[in-house]
Amino acid sequence: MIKKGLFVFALLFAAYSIFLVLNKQQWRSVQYQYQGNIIKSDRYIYADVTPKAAMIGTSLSGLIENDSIPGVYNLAMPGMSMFDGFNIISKRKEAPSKIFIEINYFFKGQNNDFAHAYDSPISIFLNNNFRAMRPENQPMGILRHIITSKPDGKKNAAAIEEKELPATVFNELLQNEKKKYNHPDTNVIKNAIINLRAAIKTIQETNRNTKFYFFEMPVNSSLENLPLAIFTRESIKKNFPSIPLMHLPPTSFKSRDGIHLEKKEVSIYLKYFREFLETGK
Amino acid sequence: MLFNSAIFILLLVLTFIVYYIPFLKKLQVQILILSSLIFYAYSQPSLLLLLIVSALINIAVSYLIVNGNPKMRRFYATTGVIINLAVLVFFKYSPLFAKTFLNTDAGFGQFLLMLPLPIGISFYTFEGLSLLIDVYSNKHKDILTIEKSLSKHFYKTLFFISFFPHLIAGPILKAYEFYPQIGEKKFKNINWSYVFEKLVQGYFLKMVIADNLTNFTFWMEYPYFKTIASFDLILIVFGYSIQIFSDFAGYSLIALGIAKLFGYDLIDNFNFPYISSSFSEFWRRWHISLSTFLKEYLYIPLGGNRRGRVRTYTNLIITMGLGGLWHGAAWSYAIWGLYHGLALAIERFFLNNFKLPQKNTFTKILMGIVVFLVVTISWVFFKLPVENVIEYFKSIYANQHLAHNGTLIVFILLYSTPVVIYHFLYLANQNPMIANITQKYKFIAYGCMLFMIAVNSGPSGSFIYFQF
Repeated sequence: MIKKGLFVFALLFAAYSIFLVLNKQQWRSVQYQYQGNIIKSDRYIYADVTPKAAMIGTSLSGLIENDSIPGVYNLAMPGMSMFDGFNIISKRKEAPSKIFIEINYFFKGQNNDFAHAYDSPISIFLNNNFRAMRPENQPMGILRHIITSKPDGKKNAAAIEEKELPATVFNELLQNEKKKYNHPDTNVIKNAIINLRAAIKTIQETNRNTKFYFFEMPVNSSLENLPLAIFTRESIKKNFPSIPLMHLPPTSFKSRDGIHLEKKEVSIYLKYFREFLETGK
Repeated sequence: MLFNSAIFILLLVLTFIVYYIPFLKKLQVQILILSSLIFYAYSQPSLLLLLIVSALINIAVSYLIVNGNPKMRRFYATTGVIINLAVLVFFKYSPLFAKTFLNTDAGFGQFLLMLPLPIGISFYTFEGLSLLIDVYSNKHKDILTIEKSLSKHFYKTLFFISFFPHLIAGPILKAYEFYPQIGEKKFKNINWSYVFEKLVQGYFLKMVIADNLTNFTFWMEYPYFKTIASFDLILIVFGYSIQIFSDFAGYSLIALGIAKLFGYDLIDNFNFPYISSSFSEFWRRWHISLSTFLKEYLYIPLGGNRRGRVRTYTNLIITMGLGGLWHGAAWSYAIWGLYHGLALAIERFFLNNFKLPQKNTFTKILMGIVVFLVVTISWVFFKLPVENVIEYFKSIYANQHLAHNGTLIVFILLYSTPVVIYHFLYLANQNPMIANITQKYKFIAYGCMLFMIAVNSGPSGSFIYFQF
């Protein structure tokens, strides 16, 4: 039984590997947020050429679709920190020439499990040598891609349309955020400044030409000038005076839950971001 | 140390090699003890001391009960039980006590709140208790013998408590089941088919089902559930029901497979619980080692069903309430346990007072659905703090107009399907003809499971029951 079972396994594995070799397209195979972060990171690490620019941050800038800003690879990871993005950038010998750092929650700590996954020699070996073992090639994800794609390769129109949350729920979530924004843990932010400085220095040591930019993602406008936002902004300006900080656009945002923008709001912000890239203002 | 981590596999392989070296065969127990202590210390080195102290207390007390002054037996046993329970209560329930009754911002309340929870403490304490109670009661004296030699007793008992496959998440061993197995083991006697089947099933349930589903069921937490559509919220609870089964049953199967590699049999902890057509049947199939422990050492000593109907219902509710609290220091676990106790009591009430129709296939299916639904709803109490449970149910009612999350629906259903098939196959195998076919072609299923483990595992995460 054991031998037969192993034979079936080998057969399936070989057939699947051949299937992947014959279908070298980029599957839209993300199943869930954490895996999306892994796939994003894998694609960055194993890309043939280093992207010219990269964006790192949290779920706030993670809402920006990866191909929506030309030349900028979005390594912002929902549920994680911009330090995780730094960690992924450091896995390639060459760094992008521009790195955009989201500052809203820059003090959020690195996800150690995620970092360890990229330090494990076994996982690196398997990822490098067996396409079938890369998370982006998981059969369940590919099955989903096949089911939800039209024959011409575009995403199925069944994409979910956002509907607003009930006002009571929205207000409750906003109030939760206000509580957090009114009571910042300044020590955590001060420690994060030290870590951020070290992370920037590490990249600069090997890539002298890399330029850094800070940007702040818009949140609900009632949060923008609460103590947490102000302290974060001022700490960044004070400690990194030579790095440009892209200010918030002069638009009032509502957001979906207090801190994450609605899709249409992301589009408004993208326009502003692209203008900054073109004009430097 | 996770069963699916590279470091564990390394420890396992090294232990296995050394264990079966012929000239070390007299030291097999010591080799497993050493590996077990490394296994435990890897994640919580400082708390290894507590495990050793707990084991030493049980070694000393059990030895004294048998070999000490016969007049003092009761005193030794009582003291041992009290110490075990005191250690468990202090480390596990102090934070709950502090949160409920003390100021946790400073002083003693803060100290209690900051106490670390030693991994597996509920499991190894219960094993120690079973040893002391069984030795004292003499109920299993034909199979449970305590050595005259203190050193032999020391190694046997330390091994019984610390053996790494069961150490941190069970199955909860009983001394009378494990002691008779302790002895020299030979490589040629390994039942490889059993090991292969248990390990493949276990790793598949854990790495493919539970580790993937957890990425969809985390939406069950506050405040995320506030933004999810009603139907999706219901489906998430279903997904969590499948996830918790896969996580825990997966762990138990791996434990069984690994223990067998070293020649030891642990009891099956799960027996297709979601096919149960009554609540009592569910508890005979779910976390069997805990439910039999509670039955033997709590329900029966409380009087069981021997002291009238009202007392029986009360005993069921008390036993399950305490069983719920065993899972964790939070009132939601107690409510979860009481909920199951109430379900068992109501079921018993109906059986006692009404003449129910004979069970046929239709009634079995109907009851199976009812039991599954009631059990699944109970997982909301298990997963969420009390204050969020009502909010969760309110959101199910209030979020009817929100858009569905197609990805979430599709993947919860996809990842749940193998567990549903797993249970249906068990039922189908009651038919000898189908059983023959599945037996003949089961290698295909094992090949497929291995393939999915290799290419479709979720991000490795802790086992849910590690926190207990």
